[in-house]
Amino acid sequence: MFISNSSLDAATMTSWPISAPQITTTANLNGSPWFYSALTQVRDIERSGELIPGLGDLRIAEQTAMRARMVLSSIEIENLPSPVISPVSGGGLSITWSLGLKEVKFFLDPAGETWFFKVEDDEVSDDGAIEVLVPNRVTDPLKWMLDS
Amino acid sequence: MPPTKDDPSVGAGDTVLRVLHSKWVTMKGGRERPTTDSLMDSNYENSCFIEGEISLEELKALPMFDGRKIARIPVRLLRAEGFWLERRPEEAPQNCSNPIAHLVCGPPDAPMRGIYEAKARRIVKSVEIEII
Repeated sequence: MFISNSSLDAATMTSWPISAPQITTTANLNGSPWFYSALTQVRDIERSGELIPGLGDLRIAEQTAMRARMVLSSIEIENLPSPVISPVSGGGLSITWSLGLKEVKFFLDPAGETWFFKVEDDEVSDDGAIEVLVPNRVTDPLKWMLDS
Repeated sequence: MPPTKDDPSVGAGDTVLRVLHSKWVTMKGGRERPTTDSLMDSNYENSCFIEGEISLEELKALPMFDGRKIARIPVRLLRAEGFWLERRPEEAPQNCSNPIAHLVCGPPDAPMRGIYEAKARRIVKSVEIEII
């Protein structure tokens, strides 16, 4: 079957308004530097977590690490900066993106809850518990951050 | 678990030393400060040491704290956000010369994450906090 170049272009190209962030329609993030960096940080925390008396318990459960990967994999935005992923004493994990004066942080509670925080100029402007598996619940705060 | 009492032997003029994980330090407005993660223990029990009851030099010399940054936090700031400070010598590091200097601080009422984050943020933003 012959398919012309113009037909292929129409089928494969996605058009974006010039000012809008480039958001993919599928979560194919294998080539995104931020995604690789994030997965590496989660793995490092999994491997290096330890109980340090006087500092805190920096170990994270396998389920928490898996939830972190689910959060990261659900994000359908390629051009994000690399997040900072940090252990939180007591078995928690935080994932924080910063862009200019805006910041988006996800906190993964060891009990299984996930929270988001929108931060602007070092003040929390919105926060709440989120269901990781519900589409867009993770991506929406990040779109807010990218929207200048 | 959260502090069960606010120890009156810890004075309002005291400062506590919080040993920091390498990811618990950030630059904001040209100033290095702790992140909120440093004061958001999931069980509301953030380990600290009362400065003066144990020296900064001794803390830095403890093998598990080697090379780590330390935040000096006025007790007044913690109490202003409703944090209690409870001595827990039994949770002090081994080889610490004065275990009674170890305490945990946090909100006694185990608030929701949003409130906890807001309290921690107001504390860490204070220009009175020094990173050593």
